[in-house]
Amino acid sequence: MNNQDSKPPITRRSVLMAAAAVSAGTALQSCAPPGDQPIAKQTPKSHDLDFDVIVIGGGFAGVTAARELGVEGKRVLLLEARPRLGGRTFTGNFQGKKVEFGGSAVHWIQPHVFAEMQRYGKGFEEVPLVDLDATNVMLSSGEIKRISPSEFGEAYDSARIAFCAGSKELFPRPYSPFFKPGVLELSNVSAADHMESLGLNELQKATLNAELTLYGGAPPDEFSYTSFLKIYALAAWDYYVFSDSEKRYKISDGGTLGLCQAILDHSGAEVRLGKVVAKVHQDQNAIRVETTDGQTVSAKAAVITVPTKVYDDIDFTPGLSNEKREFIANAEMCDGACLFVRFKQNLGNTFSFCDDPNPFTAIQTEYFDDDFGTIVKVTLGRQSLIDLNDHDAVSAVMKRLFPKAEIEAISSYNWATDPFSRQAWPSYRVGWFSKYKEMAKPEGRLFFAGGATADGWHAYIDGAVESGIRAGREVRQALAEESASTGAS
Amino acid sequence: MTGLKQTALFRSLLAAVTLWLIAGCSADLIEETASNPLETKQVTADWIAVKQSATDSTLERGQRMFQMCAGCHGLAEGEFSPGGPSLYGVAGRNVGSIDGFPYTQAMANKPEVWSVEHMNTFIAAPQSVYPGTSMAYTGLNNPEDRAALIAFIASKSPL
Repeated sequence: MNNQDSKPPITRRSVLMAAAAVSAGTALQSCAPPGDQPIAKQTPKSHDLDFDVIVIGGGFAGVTAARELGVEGKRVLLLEARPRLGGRTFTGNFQGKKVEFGGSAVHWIQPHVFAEMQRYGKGFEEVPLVDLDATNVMLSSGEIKRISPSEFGEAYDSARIAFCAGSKELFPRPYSPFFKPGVLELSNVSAADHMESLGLNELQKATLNAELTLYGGAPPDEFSYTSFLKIYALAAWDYYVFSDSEKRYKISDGGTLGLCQAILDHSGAEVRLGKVVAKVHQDQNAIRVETTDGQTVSAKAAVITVPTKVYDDIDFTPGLSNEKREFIANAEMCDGACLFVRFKQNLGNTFSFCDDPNPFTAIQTEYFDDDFGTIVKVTLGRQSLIDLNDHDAVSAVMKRLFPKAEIEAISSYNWATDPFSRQAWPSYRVGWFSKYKEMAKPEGRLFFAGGATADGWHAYIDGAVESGIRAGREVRQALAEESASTGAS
Repeated sequence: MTGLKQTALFRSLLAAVTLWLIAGCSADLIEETASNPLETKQVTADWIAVKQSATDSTLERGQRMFQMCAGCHGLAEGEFSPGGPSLYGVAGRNVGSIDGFPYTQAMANKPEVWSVEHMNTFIAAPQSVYPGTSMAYTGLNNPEDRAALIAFIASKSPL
């Protein structure tokens, strides 16, 4: 289809699509903005294209970019491959509880997502984490150290403080990460290289190595040291704030989906779910996007927000810059996944780190009481170390950590094998953090967002929102300049 | 799992497969649409055979397996289905055929029917059967687990 009308015709299929999306609770087709905040009236088109802007990807970067443009009166189409919104966040169900299978961490020190939570009236939901009852450290050998929470905290906190000791000097302005030239000089230092220089004891090393494996989604010898230091600097160079910002708070009132939907509702964008982008073609006058079902839509500009590893599945003509292609091929590697396990017994408030190459990198209690038992959330830095669909294999590891507990249910989401993410959270390989800005540079009518392009919290929802705001600004400026030069309204 | 439970599970699986074979199901069936009433009836008979032969232990195991699906898929009528199509009524349904659900092109309006055999093949390797599907699940390798899961879905299906 190459629809040249300003609005697609209302067909039985389009009505059914919208109805189904609403019933699934995931689509957000809403021309009506929330509350009393009407979007700007859409400006009449000054061109014969289908839309002003096409946004590819319905995660936080995509919906934010759509909102930034929609409220300015731009006609926006958002294309999402999955049947739901959220990208690498996913509010789902487990044993009757609302859980986040993907990115979930938010904090008031993360300015972009906090502002969105304020704007749409979303609060914080606290996970247990504080006042732990039990803590475990599984060493790389597989040996389990059952230590008190105070011993655990002492090892973990002191190791991070030592590891991040240079963060204030290197990142006095973390949103300008290369403000200090020393950062670029350390480009080829891996997290493992730096850790080895610190002389840590066994427990310090195990907890820190697990943390770094989690952030890298890879063994720490592949993971950029300075990219981790930047995140620590963003957390006000403070280990306590850092811990809270990464583990302690989720979004209440509908979870990540609730916030994502609120942002998109505000945009007034048209949403098409289940649309896998196959080709993106640009010429002097327009962008044309073709989906795998053979449909083509056109616009003045497009914002690409897909995860870095998914770019290879899209045929760009003309091709992307060499710098981008090199970044796509080499920069990211995050092999992460998420697993929830329910135990019949109340295990209390627990936290465990399992050092690489044990697969269950971090295990954190999410719910616990005598009637329900316990749900733990497992975040895997390296999902390829285990078959998450093999209950016997998962149970065997869990049995070692919690020998008296009986497993009631297991559920997982494997972001590394999801064809529409191909990786979990953004993380930079050694030598590639210094080049992340290449992925953000506009190319003609193409603009780029996504957590990996963020100056700030690149591994978080906050970074995705930041990138959507930036891409929205770039598109607005470009279209305004074009209008001014052509005399169009 | 104990050897006793394994034996029971194999017996139930064997019973289901035997009934399916007796019913004359052909592998070619999965290539047919449900538009042929006789073939539709056959597919439904397969699901009914699985449902009727499932033991309690098989269903218990299948329910545990289904927790992996429940994050995305509802199974009861009208149940919220946050990340994929509802599996209510999937037994005997055409693949990718829920009106209005935003399937990707990889799964939309396919000619195959969700027979017992096709479901078994799909669950083992979803992305191999329908490359490009948005279903992120990589596959259940253990055939006993798949049999139990299918039996559980059958037990909750309006057959």
